[in-house]
Amino acid sequence: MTNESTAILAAPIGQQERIIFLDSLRGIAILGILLMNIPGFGLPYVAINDFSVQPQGDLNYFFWYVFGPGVFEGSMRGLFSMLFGAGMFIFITRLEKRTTGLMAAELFMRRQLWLLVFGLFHAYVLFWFWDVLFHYAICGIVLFAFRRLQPKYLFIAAAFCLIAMTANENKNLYREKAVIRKGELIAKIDTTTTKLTDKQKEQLGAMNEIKESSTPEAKKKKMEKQIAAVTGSYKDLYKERSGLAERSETYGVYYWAIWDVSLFMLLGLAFFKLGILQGEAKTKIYAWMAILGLGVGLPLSYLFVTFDVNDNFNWYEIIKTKVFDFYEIQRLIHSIGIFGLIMLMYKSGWFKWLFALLRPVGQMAFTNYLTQSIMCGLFFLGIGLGYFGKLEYHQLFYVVAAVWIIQIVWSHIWLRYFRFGPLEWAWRSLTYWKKQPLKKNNSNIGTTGMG
Amino acid sequence: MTKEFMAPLTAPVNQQERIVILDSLRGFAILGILLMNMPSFSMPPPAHHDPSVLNEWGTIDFTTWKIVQWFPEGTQRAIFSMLFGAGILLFIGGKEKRLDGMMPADYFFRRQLWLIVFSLFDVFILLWLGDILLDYAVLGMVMFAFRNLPAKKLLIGAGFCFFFMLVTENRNLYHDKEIIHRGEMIAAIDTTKTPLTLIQKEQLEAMEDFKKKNTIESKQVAMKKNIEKNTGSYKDLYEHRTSRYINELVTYLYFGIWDVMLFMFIGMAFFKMGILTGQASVKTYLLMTIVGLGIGLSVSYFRLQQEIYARFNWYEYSKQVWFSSYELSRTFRSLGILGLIMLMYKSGWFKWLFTLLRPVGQMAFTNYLMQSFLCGLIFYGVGFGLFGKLQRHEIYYVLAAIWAVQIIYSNIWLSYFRFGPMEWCWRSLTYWKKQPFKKNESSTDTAGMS
Repeated sequence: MTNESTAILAAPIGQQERIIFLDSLRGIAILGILLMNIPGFGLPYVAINDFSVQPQGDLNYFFWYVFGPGVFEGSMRGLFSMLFGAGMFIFITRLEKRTTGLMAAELFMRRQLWLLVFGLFHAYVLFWFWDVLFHYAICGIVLFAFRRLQPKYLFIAAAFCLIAMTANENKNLYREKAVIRKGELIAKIDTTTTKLTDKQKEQLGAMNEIKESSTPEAKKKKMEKQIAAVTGSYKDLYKERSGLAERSETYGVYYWAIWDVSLFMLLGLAFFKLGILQGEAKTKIYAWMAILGLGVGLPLSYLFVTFDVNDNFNWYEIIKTKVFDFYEIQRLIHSIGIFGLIMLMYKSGWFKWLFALLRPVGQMAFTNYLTQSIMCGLFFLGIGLGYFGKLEYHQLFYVVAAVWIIQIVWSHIWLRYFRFGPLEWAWRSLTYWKKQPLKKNNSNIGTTGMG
Repeated sequence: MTKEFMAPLTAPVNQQERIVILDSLRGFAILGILLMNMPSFSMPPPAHHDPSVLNEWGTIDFTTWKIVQWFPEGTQRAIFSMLFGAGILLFIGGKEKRLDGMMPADYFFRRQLWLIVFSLFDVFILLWLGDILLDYAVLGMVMFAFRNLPAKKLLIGAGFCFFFMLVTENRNLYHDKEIIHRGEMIAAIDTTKTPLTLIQKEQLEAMEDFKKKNTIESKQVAMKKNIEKNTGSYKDLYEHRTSRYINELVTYLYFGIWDVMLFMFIGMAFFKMGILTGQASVKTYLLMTIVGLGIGLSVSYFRLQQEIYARFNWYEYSKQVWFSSYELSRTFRSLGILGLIMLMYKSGWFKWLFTLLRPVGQMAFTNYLMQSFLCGLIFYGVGFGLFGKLQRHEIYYVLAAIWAVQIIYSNIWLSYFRFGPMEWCWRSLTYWKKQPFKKNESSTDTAGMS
């Protein structure tokens, strides 16, 4: 795949060159992602964003609202996507300086393709159906062609993604509205006097299907089935989860990732070029981001959640009431607000300890992301301890706290002895198709280029 | 998909520099692709590959079906994928000589992304469900990472794809077998003694659904519905076609990745070995033809016999068959047909044919989209609405007409212009600069063109 001399030239980026602060941000994002993902790990699919089929209670509701759709939803994934966009740019421009010809592009492509393989492993072997590595691999490849654009054009491209995603959301909403409208009209027909045509029967059936699947009974039944599958044998689990993964890697790429993930990658790349991501911009800018983002975003998110709550999560009713779907819009705005807030914390200087604490976690973000799935898998799945579907909403967050502590501690210990996280090391070695040095005392002097 | 490949970055294409045989091959493949796509353009889904629905037994239609399925089916797509693979090498290789740094990669990825846009045009405007451009666009980017491998390793890559392709195909078969097996076991239970559990009921239902879908009656109902949708207004057609887009194409891209990448690997390897460019020995091509067609056609014949034996009832077929051999036969047949075409080329007796098809291949991209357009015009309700109205053998008259039209206009067009219109468009978008179009525009003007 490569000839020997270019391989040496293309040696990985030295540690000293890492932009230290980005690692801390990555640490925040990777721990934050677990907050968003934990319901997916611990609850049946139907119940994740549906409070009507869960044990009620203020504490449960609070956790759901704050770490769910009300405040944080999508913000950590967004932050991670931004860092990925900046990361690919750093990766390529550094390699461009060290290598000649197309070597940088080639290594980048290999890196993305290995990521795709890791994504498949994550989804089908570790059973994490919300895996994003697969999507990051694909969107990253697309982003390659945009990497040289000025921030202005990157923002335009991001705006295009936002519009396309919102259009998609609303196309789906209105398609379902039409199904319901047609079905309801037919349901009103007095069938004793006029016989329904085949087409009308079909349309009535389509409407009833949405209606029935929205009832609490149908959801509970589905929930029980999912719990049985996930806490059952390996084969049942595989069937259930691989089905979800397949959906995510086909429909999910087209309807969701290519807009939702690319949007934030483009923003991240633009922010990096403007110095905003590295904390080089003025405090005022971050303050505006926080104020506007949260000031506008949180009320919007509140409104967005209200639709669900008012109709008691009955999808059939929600479709009928909603006139405009704005998931991506509210998510983007509150995510920007949260990003601004984090950057303000950094600029203030009061949280140095926190950023220092999370830096190693971010340096081994890839390892930590995958080990979250392993730990949560062992705890929740039937092939492990089988706690799936057994915890109340707020109890899930004790698991998060435990995983966080473990990850913070081991990241600090590991990186005292090693240069990279174990999976980072594997990924690098595969990308360069050469075993990379792992231990720290491998002598920095001998291999200055190799860090 | 054509000039693009060869076009050196700087000057307009120097006709002598082009690898002439690749254009002619591309001409063969692009016309051949329509041969395979014809039933999907003109006949309702349950009937396109299933002559039982229209009760074609014993007619000329049945013979037509059998010949097409037995011999060329799927091979033209394969040869086209090979040429696409070789094209990647030519596109990047040519630019690497003339440009520094990463620009060749940049142009390559832009070119692939524009191809995605063109595929969306093919699907959402021309409403062609069988579009292959998306696969070429996406998988071409993947192949970028493999382009520097030596031929031997590329063939290992191909072997890997071949293996996974067979696994995927048979996994599906065994999935269906399992549904049938479980359902039939449950159906045999005496329900007066043991009531069925919820799961058993579901499994029984799945089997019965599967069985019912494969009866002639339900196929005919599906066919009737489909004809209505395809011959209705543009809006109906649009709804029908685009709502199936995700199912048909995006899942195909996901599960059919091996089907395309296999031949891209082979194409790259064959290009490096000179097989695709006619530089290998006659013996090599002869061996490809004999082994490829020998194995491919026998396997294919056997497979068709099984289908006929099951009377095209997929339910029965799945029960009887132990190994699904479509991709196996397709791979061998494709290699055999490539060998055969190359033997024709080597013999020198068919120079006129290769010359005739060269312009068709030079504007293959235009011709591919044009096929969607012309067939849409002929078959869909927004045009002449012949969808579902022709007998199977009659659609091949339409094919012959389209072939004639494409051969004629390609030969005429390229005596005035440098590129086909869509090639020109694609090039201009890739380089983000209007490209010279007419033949008489001086080539020195555009020396810096990139």
